[in-house]
Amino acid sequence: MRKKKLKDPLVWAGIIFMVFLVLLAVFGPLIPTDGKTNPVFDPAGGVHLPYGSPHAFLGSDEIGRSFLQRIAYGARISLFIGFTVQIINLTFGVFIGVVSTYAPKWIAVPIMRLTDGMFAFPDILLAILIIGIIGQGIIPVVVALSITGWPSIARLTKTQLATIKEREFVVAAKAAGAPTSYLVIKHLLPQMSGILLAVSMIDLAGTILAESTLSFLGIGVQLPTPSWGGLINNARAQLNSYPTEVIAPCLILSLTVFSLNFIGDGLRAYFDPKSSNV
Amino acid sequence: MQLIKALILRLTFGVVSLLIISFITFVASANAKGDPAMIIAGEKATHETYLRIYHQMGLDKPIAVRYGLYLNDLAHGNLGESYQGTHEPVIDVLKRSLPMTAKIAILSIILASIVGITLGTIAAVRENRFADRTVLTLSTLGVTLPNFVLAPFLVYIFAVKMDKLPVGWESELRGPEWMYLLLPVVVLSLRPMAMLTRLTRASMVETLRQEFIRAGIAKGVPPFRLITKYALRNAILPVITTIGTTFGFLLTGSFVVERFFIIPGIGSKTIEAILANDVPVVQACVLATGAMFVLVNTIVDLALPILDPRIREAQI
Repeated sequence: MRKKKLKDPLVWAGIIFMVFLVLLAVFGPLIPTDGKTNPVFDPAGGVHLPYGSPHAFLGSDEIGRSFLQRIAYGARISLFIGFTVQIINLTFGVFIGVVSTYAPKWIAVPIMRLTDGMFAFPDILLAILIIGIIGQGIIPVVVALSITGWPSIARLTKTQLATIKEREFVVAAKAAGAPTSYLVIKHLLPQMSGILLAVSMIDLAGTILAESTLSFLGIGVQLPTPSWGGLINNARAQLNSYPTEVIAPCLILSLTVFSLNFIGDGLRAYFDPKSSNV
Repeated sequence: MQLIKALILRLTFGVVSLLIISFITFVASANAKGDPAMIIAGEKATHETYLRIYHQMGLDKPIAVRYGLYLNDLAHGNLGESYQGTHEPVIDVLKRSLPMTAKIAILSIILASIVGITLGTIAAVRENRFADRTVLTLSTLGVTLPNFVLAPFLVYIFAVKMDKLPVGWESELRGPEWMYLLLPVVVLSLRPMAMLTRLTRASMVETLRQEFIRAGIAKGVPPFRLITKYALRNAILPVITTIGTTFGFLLTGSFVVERFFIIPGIGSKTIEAILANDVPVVQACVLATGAMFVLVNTIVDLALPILDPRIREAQI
């Protein structure tokens, strides 16, 4: 059916990096160490190794935990939070988008106003407020980022639905007597799935970045659970003597954000060739 | 007349946004964990004292009434007292920290606008040439790189290696204040700068293809004048709208930058208050930051119909 292929090398570079990242997150604990270094909860003191040491090629942190493993665990946290939040946002955003298109006015209008109202507030600010109220940690971060993330998906769903639902095949199905739920599930959502996938990739980058920001600020994921933002925050005091401890998490975070943006942009161009991106 | 109508419409929208923000912060803090009356009264207070404070704070009233009281307090500049330390009035905390944040934010947005619009114009004029590609690549980096990644690199180069600038804020400043503000302002401005560059470029590329530009070239208008007076004036409008939106990113960034450079602004105060579970301060800080965001966006919205007569007519 579709002859066009995903040819953009940047998209493939992004996909390869993300596969590598997932592997790192899954198999992180298996990275060989000298046996004395325990990656997460080891209160026992250890040696603060510089990078390039025999058993820890990124060195170890101030209590002797392998830094590469810390980063691998950070990848776990980032990907877990990113995907969880994205699944919640997609589900809720698409649901709200569909409801505000098809529900009777007295339901749809207040929902639309609420969605617009959410845009009046900068995202991170609201997330910070929510965390300020419910406390810090992984679950509060997921809650805060889910509450702030769905409006953009809802708006996208609504604008997409507005164009698709006037197309001939949808009108024809409707004329043939198909109920709205059937229309939405069988005809409308499959049409949108590509663009939704593309946008969620870009949003996933945003979520991972937001999580790192919160953790960097010290109000997100709390040490000793490693997250990239927390690692950067923790290591910045030793920027002079152990620069890799800041540079490595910065680098892997930046590469993740770049990769997801490349994948998202490539997918969007693939599914929706008419759209231009600024 | 139309202009006045358009301005009133935008002002109303600004006020409504402020109300939404105040409502969100109110609901959030009303649901915060911990009983405010208990915290004010202290653990050892008798039940009578507790009830008296509970009543004084209006906690026994229905939630709608409490929101009304809260708005009334806000209008009188009464934001409650901090739970921590000397129970300082929150308004004093804001008075102390808000000017610093505002100063850095305004300097950053000015820097971002000047550099972003200039670079974007240059890129558009040299479309698809070397200068354009360089600017595009750099701005892509600038949009995606988080500022807590940029900050350590710049600090490492300029403060640690070259030792020209201070690493962070100090309670006793050694040297002029601009030296302490330079790195934070640059770091904070990079992301809005990149966004404005990309937008100016896109908008300029489109404008430069239009017929009146060709007419201008044919008429012999000098290139510099053609670009600044003819093209940029037309291309700048979407850029000005975006200055308002980028201000949101800037406020987000100011949390990170203030924390990184230990600047005593509202961002650091918010984080401190969250870690100390100081709900009134958190609430007031978020409210103040949100209000700044709305204020800037309203100013931008007000500027648009003044600058462009087409918008005046379209929006009513």
